[in-house]
Amino acid sequence: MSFTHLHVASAFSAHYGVDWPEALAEAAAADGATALACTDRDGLYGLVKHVGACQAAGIAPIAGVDLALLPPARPGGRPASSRVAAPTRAPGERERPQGRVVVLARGTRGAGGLGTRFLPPTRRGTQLPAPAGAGYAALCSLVSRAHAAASPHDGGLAPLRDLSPEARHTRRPRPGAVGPSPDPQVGIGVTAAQLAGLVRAPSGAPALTVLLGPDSDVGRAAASRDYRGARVALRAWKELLGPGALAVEVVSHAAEPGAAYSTAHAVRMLRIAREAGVPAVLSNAVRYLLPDGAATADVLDAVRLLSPLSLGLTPPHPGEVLQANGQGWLKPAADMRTLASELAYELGGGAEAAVELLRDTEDLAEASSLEPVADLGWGVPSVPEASVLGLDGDPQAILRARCEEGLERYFGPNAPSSAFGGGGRPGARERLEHELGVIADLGFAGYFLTVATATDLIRSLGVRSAARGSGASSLVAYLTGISHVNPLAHDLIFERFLSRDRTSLPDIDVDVESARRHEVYRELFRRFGSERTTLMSMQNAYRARGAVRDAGLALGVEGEETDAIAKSLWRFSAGSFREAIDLMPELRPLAQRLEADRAAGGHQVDLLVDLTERLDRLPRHISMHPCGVILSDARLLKRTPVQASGLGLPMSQFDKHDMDSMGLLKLDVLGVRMQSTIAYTLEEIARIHGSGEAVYAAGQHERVSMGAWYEGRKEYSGVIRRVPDGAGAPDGLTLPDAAPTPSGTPLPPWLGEDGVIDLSLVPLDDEATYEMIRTTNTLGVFQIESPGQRELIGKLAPTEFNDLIIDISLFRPGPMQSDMVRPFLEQRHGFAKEAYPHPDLEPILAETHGVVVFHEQVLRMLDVMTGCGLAQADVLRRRLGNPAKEPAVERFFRAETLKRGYPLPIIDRVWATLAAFGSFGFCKAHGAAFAVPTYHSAWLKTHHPEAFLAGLFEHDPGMYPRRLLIAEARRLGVPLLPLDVNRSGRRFAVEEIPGARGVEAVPGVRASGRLGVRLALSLITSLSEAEAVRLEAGAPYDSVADVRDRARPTRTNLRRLAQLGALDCFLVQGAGGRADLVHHLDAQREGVMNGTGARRGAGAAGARKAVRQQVDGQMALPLGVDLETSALTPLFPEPTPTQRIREELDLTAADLSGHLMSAHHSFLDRVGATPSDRLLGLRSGSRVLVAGVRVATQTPPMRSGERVVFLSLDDGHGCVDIAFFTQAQHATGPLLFSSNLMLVEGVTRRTGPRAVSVQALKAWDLQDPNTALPGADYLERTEGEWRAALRRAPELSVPGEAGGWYRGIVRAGVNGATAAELAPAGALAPTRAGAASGAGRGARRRVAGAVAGRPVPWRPGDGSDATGGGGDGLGALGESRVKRAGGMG
Amino acid sequence: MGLFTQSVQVTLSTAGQPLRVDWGGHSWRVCARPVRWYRRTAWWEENARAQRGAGAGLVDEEIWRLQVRLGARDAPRTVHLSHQPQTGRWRLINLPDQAAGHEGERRSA
Repeated sequence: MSFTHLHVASAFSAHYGVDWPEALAEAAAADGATALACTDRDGLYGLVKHVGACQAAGIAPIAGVDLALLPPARPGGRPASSRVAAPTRAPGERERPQGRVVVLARGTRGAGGLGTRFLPPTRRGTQLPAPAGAGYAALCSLVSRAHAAASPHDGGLAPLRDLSPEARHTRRPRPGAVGPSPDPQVGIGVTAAQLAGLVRAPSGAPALTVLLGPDSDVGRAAASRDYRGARVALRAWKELLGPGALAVEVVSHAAEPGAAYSTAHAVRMLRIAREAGVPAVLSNAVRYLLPDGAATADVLDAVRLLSPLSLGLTPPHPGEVLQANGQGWLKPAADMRTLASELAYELGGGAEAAVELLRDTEDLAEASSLEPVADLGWGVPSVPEASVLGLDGDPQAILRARCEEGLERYFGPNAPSSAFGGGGRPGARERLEHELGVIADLGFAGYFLTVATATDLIRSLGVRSAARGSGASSLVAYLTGISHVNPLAHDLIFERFLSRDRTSLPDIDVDVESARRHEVYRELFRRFGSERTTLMSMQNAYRARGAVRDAGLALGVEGEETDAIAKSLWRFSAGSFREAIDLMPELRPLAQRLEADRAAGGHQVDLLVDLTERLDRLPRHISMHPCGVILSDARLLKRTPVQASGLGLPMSQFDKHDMDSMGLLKLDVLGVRMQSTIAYTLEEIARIHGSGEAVYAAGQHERVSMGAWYEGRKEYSGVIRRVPDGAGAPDGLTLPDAAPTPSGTPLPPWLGEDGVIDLSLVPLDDEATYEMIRTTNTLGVFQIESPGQRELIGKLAPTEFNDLIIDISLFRPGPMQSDMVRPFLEQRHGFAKEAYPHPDLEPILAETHGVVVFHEQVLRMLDVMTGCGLAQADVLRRRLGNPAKEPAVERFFRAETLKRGYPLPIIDRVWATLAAFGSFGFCKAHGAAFAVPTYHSAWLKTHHPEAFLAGLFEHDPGMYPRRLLIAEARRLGVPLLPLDVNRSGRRFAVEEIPGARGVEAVPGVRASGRLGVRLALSLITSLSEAEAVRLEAGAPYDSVADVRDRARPTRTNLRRLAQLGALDCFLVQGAGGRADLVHHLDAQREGVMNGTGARRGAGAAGARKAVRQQVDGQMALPLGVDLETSALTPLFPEPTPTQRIREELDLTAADLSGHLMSAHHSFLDRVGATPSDRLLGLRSGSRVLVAGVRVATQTPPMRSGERVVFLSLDDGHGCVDIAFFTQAQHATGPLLFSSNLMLVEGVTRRTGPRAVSVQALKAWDLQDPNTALPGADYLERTEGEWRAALRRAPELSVPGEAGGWYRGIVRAGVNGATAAELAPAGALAPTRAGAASGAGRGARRRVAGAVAGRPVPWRPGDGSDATGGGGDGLGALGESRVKRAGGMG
Repeated sequence: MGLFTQSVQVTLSTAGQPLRVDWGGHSWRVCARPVRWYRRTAWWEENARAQRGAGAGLVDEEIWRLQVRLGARDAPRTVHLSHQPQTGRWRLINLPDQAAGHEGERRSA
């Protein structure tokens, strides 16, 4: 007889379980078990994975949960505690649970317990087991109710407790969190009465079984030898739950005799069970797979209880003790049988006691074995019922009708031919029929109608939205308004999204305005009903930084110490910590500390590392998935348990990986800040200009191209459109004389009379926009603002919309790391000839110059060469890159292509390409969907920078901190209007600057300076929402007193307003200045606090009155002059610019009045640093010093496998991108990741036609007072050493090969960076024509090296850069959210 | 721990139960059913390393309480042994707290 473990916590029991369901199921199966339970703590988090794992392992899954039992008191007559429902319970007061129980769901895989003690006959005769699904449904309801218990005030939906790492470590909850709680799941549990209410199916048969183990009230009584108490409790349970639904769970971890979980404890429970006639089952209360896991469990306990391990043995509260020992592992059946015998012996009974115990255990296992499809609805897709969608009739017919409407609208007789793409007009009809056919066969019409209903809803709210992902491939999606990308125009393939060969529901993601997404969720809930809608959860796993912090907590290491270590960690998995210490240069100090510690006989640092590794990837906390919404039929809450999300809407405990298995329809509604930014920008444009004509003029939309300006011509005129609609105007359209457009010309279709722009109608070919993109000044532009993207854009030099799609598709680890981008760029720029493996493939690969970039291309290649059809091609494509499945694909490919007569060398070549790139390709639909907002944001930045910047400030969409956007505003020449109580509102707004002379605006380059952005009150981080509302509403003010009276900011905030200059408008010429005002306000504050002039006990109101009396005669009289400020004596000097900036940084996290680097300017001048905007003008290979504020850090994967660290520093003149190779990392040490203001010595290198970056040699921390910074004229003084180092360098290679191109900075390596004098004197720069013809001919090229400062030309793949080329593959990916809490893991 | 420990030799039955304990030149016979439990250790204080995969024996130690006697007519003594499964070593330990009367435990209802 096998043994089934009925009480097992998987790793998904956060801070409790250790091992993954897959590992547990495999081990159980290997040991011969026929079933395994998953009873996670407080929820069903691991259940779906458990069921999948059991199926894979060939055993039956059992579902259960481990819950806390809440008062009222134990059933049986004790007075109910009033604590549970009392609203007067103080927040944070912990609910003392009455122990814990395990509840298992009944299943229908077996006989459901028929013939066992778990389905005893009733008075009426033999009971039938509960019907399929009843057990699982009851379990879901139970778990949901347990979570609702955590906050009874909230109508059943509890707010999520504060699980943030910050709260864990500071023990201070964030505002909004309900009380400080060591155990984040406190308050979750059920009362016995609630259990009783759910334990039976309507038929009366048990649907759940409650297990009372050593932690239950019965168990605890038994532990303290309170026999009477235990018996009474057990009898009460028996009465409450009735027969068949209850069992005693006997557990022995062989703890010390007398302790809980000892054999004696187990025997007592067994005895009590037998005496009461309750069946007893044996379990091992498993938390880990192997004995080794016990240490990890200890650490998890310490973290969960927020107390070091050393305290765990003598904790302040009982029940919060560490586990008794390490015996809670998944013991094999043999051990469990031995245990049963031992217990039987101790009981004094014979071997029958053991047999009975084991048999009852197996009986319960069988009664609880689940049949996934019948009991869980496993894999069966479910969508909302037709009636809910407001549909009356056949969903397929209704879908067709909608599509026909769409066809008329988008592809009617007036539609341009470009809208139809390659297939022409008949192609559209064909495609529609094809798609509708597939949808009908799969029965997915309901799915599409559901999603269409959702997008209709979003549109009706006036919220911007855009579908993303492969959904954009579908014409049906386009016609029903789900997606806004025309799949025909962009040549997208339906089968990439859906085909008859798929069985699971497709996935559609919709981007909406981030600021309004909660509105969207609520509307979806309202529309579909709360019994059909839930949000989705996600598991956040430990990463290195969080793991170190928590390991430190467990060991009792000082918080600051672990903090320092954590901050120096960067992007490696916690599990490879020890390895990282050996390898990573920034961890040198830690490695040294480890050595020192060991030498001194200590081991704390070693343990810290070990424990950190143990926490690797374990779930740390569950949170709401930011975008997933589950839409289902009315059975939803019976199929998933829910808990609070923090939004006031329930969220499913299942995460995105569970959706497919459970057949649930998930709609990803992503709040994308860029959509909010764009919406805001459009609003501002309309508001500030007021009319279409003004908008058109201000945005200089009549200019087609700014090429002349970029070429440096003095009298730039730009190229002017004749017809101001832009539609289809080819690039470079010129007119013989640039006559001004006659007024009365109609506005283009995308611009309304009222100045409202409809972006969906803006043509995608605005040359000025592409020119701007090519300058790589794309800060703030969607998708292409990261340093790596800027480098790629610089090289790729997009000229049309398809280029943007390609850029987005290429910028991923796969293509960047493998050698995809280099050949693409070379062919694109004409440095290499495009080569197609076979003429059949030319039409497919032409748009990407012969390189395979898109999934769609892979599909077409497979189809053309093997004739397998696009649907099958997609199936094959998914298998590429999977080592297990790829060989079969290869066999099929070779067989079919041979049959079709392709020559073998070509087959080999094409297969090599497919194998290499097949899994790296990108879905073009996805790229197209992304390219749209990329283009739109770039277009807005080009033509309406002021409004766009206001939108960026307001919604903060990108990866960079706001202060960098402020610097960008300065760069563009957009004045930033300071904080002013009379002008600043809560939002950033565009403001006309009266009387500003301004300059001529150049789209994409600089703004006119006549429109500025007024800084908003929301910049002041300490200002509350209410205060900001009052301040805005009460404007304009007459005086400081007026502000004080009517807006009533706190005194501290009033002072802050003064510090930031918001009250400067009240200062009087000749009287005191800003500093005096600040001191005056300080004095008032103190006066109030001392009670000066106020009667004792008068309180705040009295104090205010006293202040008014103090400044008697200076009441807020509308005299036009602020009497308060005019009475100020000018005593204090105005703050220096540096002081001002410091204050601004403190109060707003942004340097508003000037760049914060300005404080270092004199030092930087002395030492010879180069401003970032001058780098392009230097020769490539020049040694420079650069400095700035760190704004980005990235460590993309490199082809060589070595780690290269890319930093971006902002020095007030722009951003400089810097690469640190291995030697430079060593030379720099930990400050590489931890310093905020750096000085870097390095060598410049060209990375594109208009882009340059720096390869670092070493760096200094500008803020560290202990650093020895370089002295004046550093570069000159060290020139000798430098040249000497170069002479020693082996990498000087100035090939005389064709083209005379030189290798610039050579590859990363232990030799570090060396740079040669990069071009021999006299080398000429080639022209583009020359390059194309000269390649391979050995023509000599010379560069005018003699001309000082003339930049040396660049060509892709010349090895002159680390990211693109001939050397070590590409990189610069994976943006770091530096500004967002430093990537705490 | 501050315990007095000494290495001993233990002979086991086929079922893995101790039968004889050899120590200090004498051989004691186990004369009652051995009791075994696992006692947790403060491994974070005592151990230098706790790496993943270290295996059993980190978090707890295996303790045996045996009633042994030299000869059939000698009075039985209670001894406590600690067993290291990984090395197979047995040590005699002195557990003052565990001294008396948990035997009484078994007999109570």
